[in-house]
Amino acid sequence: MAPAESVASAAEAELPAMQGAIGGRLLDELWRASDAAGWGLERDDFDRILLEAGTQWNFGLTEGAAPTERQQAAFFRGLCLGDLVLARACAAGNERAWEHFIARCRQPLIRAAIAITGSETLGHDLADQLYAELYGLNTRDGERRCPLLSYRGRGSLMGWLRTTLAQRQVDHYRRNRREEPLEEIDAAAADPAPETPAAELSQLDRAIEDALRGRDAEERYLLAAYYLDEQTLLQIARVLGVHEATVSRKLKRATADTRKHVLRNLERGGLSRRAAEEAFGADPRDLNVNLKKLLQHSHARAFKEQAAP
Amino acid sequence: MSVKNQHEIHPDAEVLSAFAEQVLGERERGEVLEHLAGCGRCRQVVALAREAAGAEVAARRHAPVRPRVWFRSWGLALAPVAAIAASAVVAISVHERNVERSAEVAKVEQQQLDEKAPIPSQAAPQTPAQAAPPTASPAEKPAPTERTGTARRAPVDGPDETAAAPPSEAANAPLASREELAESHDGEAHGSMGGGSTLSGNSADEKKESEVASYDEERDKEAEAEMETRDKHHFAAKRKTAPGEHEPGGSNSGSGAAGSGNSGSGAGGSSEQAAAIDQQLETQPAPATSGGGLMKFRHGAFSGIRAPNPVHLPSGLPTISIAHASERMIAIDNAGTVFLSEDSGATWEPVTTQWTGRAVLVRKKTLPQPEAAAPPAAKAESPGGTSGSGAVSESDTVFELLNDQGQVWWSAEGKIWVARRI
Repeated sequence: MAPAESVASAAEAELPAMQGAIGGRLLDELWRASDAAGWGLERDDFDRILLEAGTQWNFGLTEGAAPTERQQAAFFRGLCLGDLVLARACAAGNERAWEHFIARCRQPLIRAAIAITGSETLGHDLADQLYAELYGLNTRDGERRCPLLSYRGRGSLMGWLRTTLAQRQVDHYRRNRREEPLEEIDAAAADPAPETPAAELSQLDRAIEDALRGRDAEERYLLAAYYLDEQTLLQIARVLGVHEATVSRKLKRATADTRKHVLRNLERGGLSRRAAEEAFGADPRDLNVNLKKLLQHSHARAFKEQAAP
Repeated sequence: MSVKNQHEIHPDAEVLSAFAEQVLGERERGEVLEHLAGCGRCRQVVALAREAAGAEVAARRHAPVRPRVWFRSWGLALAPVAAIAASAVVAISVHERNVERSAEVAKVEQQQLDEKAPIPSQAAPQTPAQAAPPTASPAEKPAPTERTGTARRAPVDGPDETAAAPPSEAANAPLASREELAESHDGEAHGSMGGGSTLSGNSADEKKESEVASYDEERDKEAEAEMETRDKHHFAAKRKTAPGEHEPGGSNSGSGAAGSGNSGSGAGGSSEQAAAIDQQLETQPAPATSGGGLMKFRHGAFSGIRAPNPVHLPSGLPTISIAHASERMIAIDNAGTVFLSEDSGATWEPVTTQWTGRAVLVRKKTLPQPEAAAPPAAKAESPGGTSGSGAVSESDTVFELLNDQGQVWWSAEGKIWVARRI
């Protein structure tokens, strides 16, 4: 199959070096456990797929670290090998694999799309569109492109499908949001003159920026998800895999710490304690603080290494 | 920002999915969280993917899995409930069976009580005879009196008529009757109420236990005993027709110690035994009209010994009871019609009904001397009766008819019947 071959050729240069590093016994064990032969995969293809996944994530280690055999084994055993083999067999055009995929994932895919879009019609459209792409109807440079080739077994195949659907829905929404008519939007009233002195406002801006930059990733995520995205505690808890009471407690603590930090920064700027507390009464619309930018300051650094070539 | 640029800076779907499924390592998770803190688009993606996963779980939980969950959740609870229910059903069925059996036994007892009710009254006129020199025929003793509650193997030391059991003792009738049935058909002469009353004085519990617990076994034994008895009766009936059977001073003129083969004056034990068998043959018991399975069985058992020789009545119905004295025979068919034959069964003529209810039993009754208790009709019909002290002659013989209510009629010649008042 062409897509598989193209992916294989992309990692071709790295594979020989890694192939010797992975124990043959581990590969044998994974080969037997994955039932790849049942889906028509050859052993060489299977080894190549594993090596590709390993090099993609560097076996879950930081970039440049040399994995030990135990770390390799732990990484591979953490993969959803059955789903990975099925996805690659579908991408390779194995009919039996497709039948199995349809029987197993077709209806859940539609239900997920309906849940994501909130509409049965839109959900079916979204699911059908993704399904067509999965089947390889899209071509690039004369070759069929199957999104299943980008799945490498980290997390379940169904979770990957749901996240892909959600990505497409969010991207579609964000693209089309600007096209929404403005007739129903009331014209904003003219801003009244700020009651807080400009000097205090600028001082408050700086104090807030400094306080937010000092928060760790989880606290910033909590603050952003709760105050910016207006997600519920339950939604945030599901994403983080914790109880919503834990989210509530962490959120409360993050808010209190941020407030303390802002107060401290204001006091450091020369305001009295009382004046600093009164500064919190300023109208937020008078502030020149871009919370999005403040909370986004590190994302490019975190994922720039995962950028596609 | 172009789509391509977004892909360059956003984690791909697999990483976000792995983050939501909590399968990333600490380092990778921290990186994703760092990105999510500042990326509204990825936060939305992760949140929507998690909502879809939650909806999928809810759909599985509610739609197709519901029956399985129901069965699983109740399956464990149903197992002990089913066991308890099964135990209850078994207990109830056993209890009902016991109750039914007890009711059946009670019916039998009642039936026996009804059958025996006239007999105590019969004992009254014979009490003087008891005090008198022995005049009772040994042939009288076994069959009729045993039905009043005589226990088996009791020594015969008194006339049958003294065996009139009080009503309380009559409650033992079924067991005694069954035992008597098996024993009496063996051709033995059974004892009187002296010993019988002692044995029949068992407590009600013992009786119940012996009756209920060994009910099935006794039925089998009874059937076997009936078959054996029938064969013996056939043999005895043939012997009965031998000459000298009714000779005065012979087997019929035994002394008062009736029943014991050794105590007869001038009479051998074999002749007395033959006389007892003769009495049994001539006074076949009547089948009960009710009584459940036991009585049905008993009816079937009796049907095999209704008559040693086949009797063809004009009604064409089977005979349920027959008695004869010399050439005269009286028979009852299962419709309750009474027939009389003067020529040893060659010809039969129906007897006009002079009794109430349905005739169920006819038997020959030999009256002792003096004839104070004899019915007037019997006296009239037998003027030349034997007057010898202690001797029993043909003229002392009357036929006794019982209806299904236990009432008794007597007749000397079989045509005119007089109610026997208790």
